[in-house]
Amino acid sequence: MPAASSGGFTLTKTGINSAGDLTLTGFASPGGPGLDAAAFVIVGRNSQVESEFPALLDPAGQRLEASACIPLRALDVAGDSLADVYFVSRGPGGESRTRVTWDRSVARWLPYPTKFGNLSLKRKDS
Amino acid sequence: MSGMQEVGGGRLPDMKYFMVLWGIADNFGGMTTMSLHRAGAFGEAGRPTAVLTFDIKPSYASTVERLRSQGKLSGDTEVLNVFQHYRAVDARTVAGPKPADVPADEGQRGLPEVTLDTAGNIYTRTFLRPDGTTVAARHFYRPDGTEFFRDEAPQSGNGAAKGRFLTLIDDSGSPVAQWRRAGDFYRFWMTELAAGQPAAFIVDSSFASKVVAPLEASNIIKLMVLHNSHIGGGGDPFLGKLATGQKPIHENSLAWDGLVFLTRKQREDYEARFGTATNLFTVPNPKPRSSKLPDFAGRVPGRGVMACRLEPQKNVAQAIEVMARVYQQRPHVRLDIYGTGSLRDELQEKIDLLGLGEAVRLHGHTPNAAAQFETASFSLLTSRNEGQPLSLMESLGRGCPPVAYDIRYGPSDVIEDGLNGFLVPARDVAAAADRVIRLCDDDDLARRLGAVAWERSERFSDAAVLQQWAATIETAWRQRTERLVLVELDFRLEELFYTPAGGLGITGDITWVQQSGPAAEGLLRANLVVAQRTGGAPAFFPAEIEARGPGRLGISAEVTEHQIGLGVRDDNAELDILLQVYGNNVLKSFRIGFPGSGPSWRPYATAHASLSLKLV
Repeated sequence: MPAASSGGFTLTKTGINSAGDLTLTGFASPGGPGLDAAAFVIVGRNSQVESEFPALLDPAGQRLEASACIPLRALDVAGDSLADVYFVSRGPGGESRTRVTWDRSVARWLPYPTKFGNLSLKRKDS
Repeated sequence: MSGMQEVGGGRLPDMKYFMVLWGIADNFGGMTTMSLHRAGAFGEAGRPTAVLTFDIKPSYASTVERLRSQGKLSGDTEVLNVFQHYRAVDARTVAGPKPADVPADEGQRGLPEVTLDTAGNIYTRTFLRPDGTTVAARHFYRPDGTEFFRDEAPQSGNGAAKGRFLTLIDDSGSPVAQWRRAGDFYRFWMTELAAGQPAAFIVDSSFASKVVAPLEASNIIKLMVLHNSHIGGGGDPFLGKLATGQKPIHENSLAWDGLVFLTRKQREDYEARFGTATNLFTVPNPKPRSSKLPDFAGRVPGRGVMACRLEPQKNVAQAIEVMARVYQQRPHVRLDIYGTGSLRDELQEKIDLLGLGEAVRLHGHTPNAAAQFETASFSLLTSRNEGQPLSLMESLGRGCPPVAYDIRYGPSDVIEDGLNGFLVPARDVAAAADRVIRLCDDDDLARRLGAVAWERSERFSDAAVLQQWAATIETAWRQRTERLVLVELDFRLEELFYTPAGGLGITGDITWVQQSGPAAEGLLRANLVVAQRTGGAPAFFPAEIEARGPGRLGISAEVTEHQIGLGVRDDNAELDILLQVYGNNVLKSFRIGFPGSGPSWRPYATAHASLSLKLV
């Protein structure tokens, strides 16, 4: 797995809809002379199997909005029950990969699914 | 108030009244006592009230006679039973659902078990399946030997059920009416009793609530009295699960014109957790007090009294432990316990083991045990949970100062610590023993507390409580046309989203099928609820109504990270998310999960606040 480089991604919203699709929206930070393409990559925690989903890039003023709608039902990470989500940007300077995260400086309550499939929140650092 | 004479001044409205129990056991507890007493009090107030039962009992005559002689059932209170009723009436006059042929029973059945009525006539023949417990059919007979009712559950040869058939039969043996569910038969009877006139059914038995809840008629209101904590075992009001017996009541609370709590504290706890609705009321149990304060000189020094069933909920074992401590310092103090139950032998063993044979005496069931409070210096209540303990009210009404655990619910509503009794923390045996000793050592204290106890018990007199019932019934009757009768009330989550700062939001549809009442889409609202996993009241955040239509509300709700954390105690590390739907009599909460069917990948945050997916 390539190391995360100077490229970045600032999440503005993520969610899941009734079709079971993961939606992701945020701003890409080119971090170099340009950004030609971007994608979200889901990596099986144990298998390290990767599934890549192209991001839609849309200039928004001075910034570049990146979004995707990922059909999780089709996710092929056999043997895994956990997977991590990355943002990959590609440009003249090569490829950079960064983990999609909450805003760690302010987020104090983090969501998780209970064993019964319900939504709960856990206090960060608890 | 159409169809009913307008009344005021705290008088019970002019309508038919029924108290609903499942049955009347030979040795019943506080719930039945209060139901029978309330029926009598309504009767004395000019509103004759019948007690309804559904158990298969040939006759209530001897029970009624005994209860009347004991003063537990007033002379003008009838006890009616659904089977005894149809045994006596002319079946041809019953305009019930048209009967159909009952499929042949191809299953195996044994010889019938026969029960006789008090005159020695056959009352029922019951045919059981080979497992010895499943009823294949039960036939009911009139005193003249003709069959009047048949309850059948035929099977195919391989044991598949063919349905249930409850058939009313005339004296020539012809079926005249038939129901496919027992509840429908019971409700038909109740509707016949109301006879199209304004009627109030006040249900005391949680078991009978299943029969009454689906009863819908424009001339009928239904009120459910909650005789115990709504939380199993009287646990934490914000954490505990709903008590098993009451769960169906609360999960379908919109079916009731009134859910009646016995104490203000219990209703407050309920509303703080689940929200409020127009059909929540508070009416304490009425308890007759002695007409004057019993003379203190008539109290036996150092004698305490408990009156309760010897069952786990009453926690009598701890009362014995209290007395063990008292005995070490004041060996002359006595505790007389009146009542019986499944723990009698175990408790006697404990008394013997602790060498308290002289200090604690189990007297068993004793008629009019309440009179014992007139000659006691203190009473003791160590229950784990209650709705409003009858024995505590009896003790106060007879000027006997109580020492009570501060449990949910009841004691803290009626005891002002040190003024009309003593309130000690639940399970604090040492504190209870200390208060008993203080009352036994200090006659002036016992006299003073007892006098205040008797004076303040006035608010639980029949007259005072009937006024509250009158107001409750008037309100419930007035509101009945505004009651939303909905089935299949549900919430379908369309989208769940997170914001990077830690907020979250949902969109989705609240759906239902409306049977009666004003258009629900104009009245229902919703809150996103953040509930604390380890205790404390939840927080409610209003949802936006995005779309309204018959049977559907589209809603969205969002909470910020700041809102989520508001009021959360430091010891709470986990929160649960719910959606509360409310409006008029509707109060229902849905746990929020993830959209779509599972198992599927669910987005979550790792401990480092990174986005990951989990297959759940």
